[in-house]
Amino acid sequence: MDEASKSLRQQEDAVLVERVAAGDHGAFEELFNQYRHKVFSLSYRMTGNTSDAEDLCQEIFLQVLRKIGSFEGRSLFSTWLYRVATNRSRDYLRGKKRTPNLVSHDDPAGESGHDDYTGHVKMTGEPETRALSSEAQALVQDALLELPVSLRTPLVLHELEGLQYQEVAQTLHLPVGTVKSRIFRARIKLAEILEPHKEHWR
Amino acid sequence: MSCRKVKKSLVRYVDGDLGGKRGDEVREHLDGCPECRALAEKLEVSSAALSSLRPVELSDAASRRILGAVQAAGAPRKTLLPGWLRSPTALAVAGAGAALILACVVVVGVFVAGPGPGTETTAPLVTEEKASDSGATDLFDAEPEGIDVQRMKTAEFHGPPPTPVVKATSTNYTEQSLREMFENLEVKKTFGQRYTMGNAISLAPSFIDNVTTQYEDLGQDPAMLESMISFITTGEPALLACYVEKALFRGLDVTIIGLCAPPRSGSTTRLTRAEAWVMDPVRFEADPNTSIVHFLEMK
Repeated sequence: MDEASKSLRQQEDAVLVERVAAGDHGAFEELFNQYRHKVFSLSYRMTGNTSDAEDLCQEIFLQVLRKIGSFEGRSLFSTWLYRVATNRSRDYLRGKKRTPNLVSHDDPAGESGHDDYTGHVKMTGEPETRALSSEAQALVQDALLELPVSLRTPLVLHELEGLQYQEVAQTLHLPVGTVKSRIFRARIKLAEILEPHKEHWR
Repeated sequence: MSCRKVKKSLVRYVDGDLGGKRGDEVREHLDGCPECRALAEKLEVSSAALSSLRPVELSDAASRRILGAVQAAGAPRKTLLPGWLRSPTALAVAGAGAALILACVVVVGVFVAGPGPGTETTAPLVTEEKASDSGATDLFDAEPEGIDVQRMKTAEFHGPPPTPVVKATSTNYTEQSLREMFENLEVKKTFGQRYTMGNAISLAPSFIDNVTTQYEDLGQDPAMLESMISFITTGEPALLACYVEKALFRGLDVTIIGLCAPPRSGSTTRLTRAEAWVMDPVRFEADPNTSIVHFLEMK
């Protein structure tokens, strides 16, 4: 997003926030539509499967709706939203007490845990490459889940959600230096986890 | 170029954002350093792996379902902050000279390491608010009692606000001004015999990092640290340990002092930490790097 459209987005958000706090359902729906994919994406990367991600997404937006009265506008709405999202993710993951690896090999229906990646996104290319791609993506997602939340969160925010270091720092209430360092460590750890399969990304 | 320096630029180098002389210097170093080369390779692999992830979207059906559920369940509530939580901010805004009002709250407590990852860590703590003209109670004799960290995070406070003990007028956070502030702090008199400024201030930039690593190494979830500044040596049995949670004081100009357990004999000094930091919330929002962490060391 370029600076101009960013600025416009911020202004529009500010207006919507006020209207939502005043009880305007339509405004909330607009905010929801604006941010639903971003929030879902974060939720998905943090939890590793659609079902949990949708639950988490719902919890996040519920929190947003409930707490929007306390948003004082001292930061950007998107920063505040991501803050709510990452806090909820952390609590959600703690509550679930899942083991890092969600791949369930004896689950034929695929209902718990692992996803068929072709379901949500448009896949292009030959059937073989599609399947390979799916498997490769699954490996990366599983590796993400093996990272501790404190490393996974800034990594996902920066590398996948596209937030700048400064924005990640504000979202997580951390100094920029710490954010950079955590992302560095997260990437190293990710590569170490993926070491046995690294040919996929050569 | 040293390995330490190279590591700082390695991400940018691997991602192709480091050109010119710096880039050449890194490349030269990598040619001769297998360790850094290995790191660079890992960074490349992670970059490729992450880039291979396709964007995910919420399906229309799920969107409708979630929106419906949320609107049915939720309704915006105007949260009222207790009055005293607002006033220091108002004061900060009103002060033309950007005077910082420092409220000093000292929390004395005992931190006990939890049994392992994935479980809630028990952190029995005592809060003892320092009134400016109370008798100099010995902070280290306080009895520990349980405190609910979640409750603290929602800032449900009752009673009078912490009394400011120092009023600082400087907005330049130099080491000099911080030392001066420290010298003038009332609480220094209480624990001054045991703690000194030391050279720990040079460790400030890597502090949170070190702390996080230690937390992780102990199998704890370092996510809790995000709102904590002081670290408590979890390897220590019940000893002097204080921490204050930054989240409690968002919106206030505060000085928070935390004292950490003295090290076991033979352990490194890095496990001993106390910090006093000054935070201007407006500046902090603008640039978290301006929040200074200031350390004390055991004598």
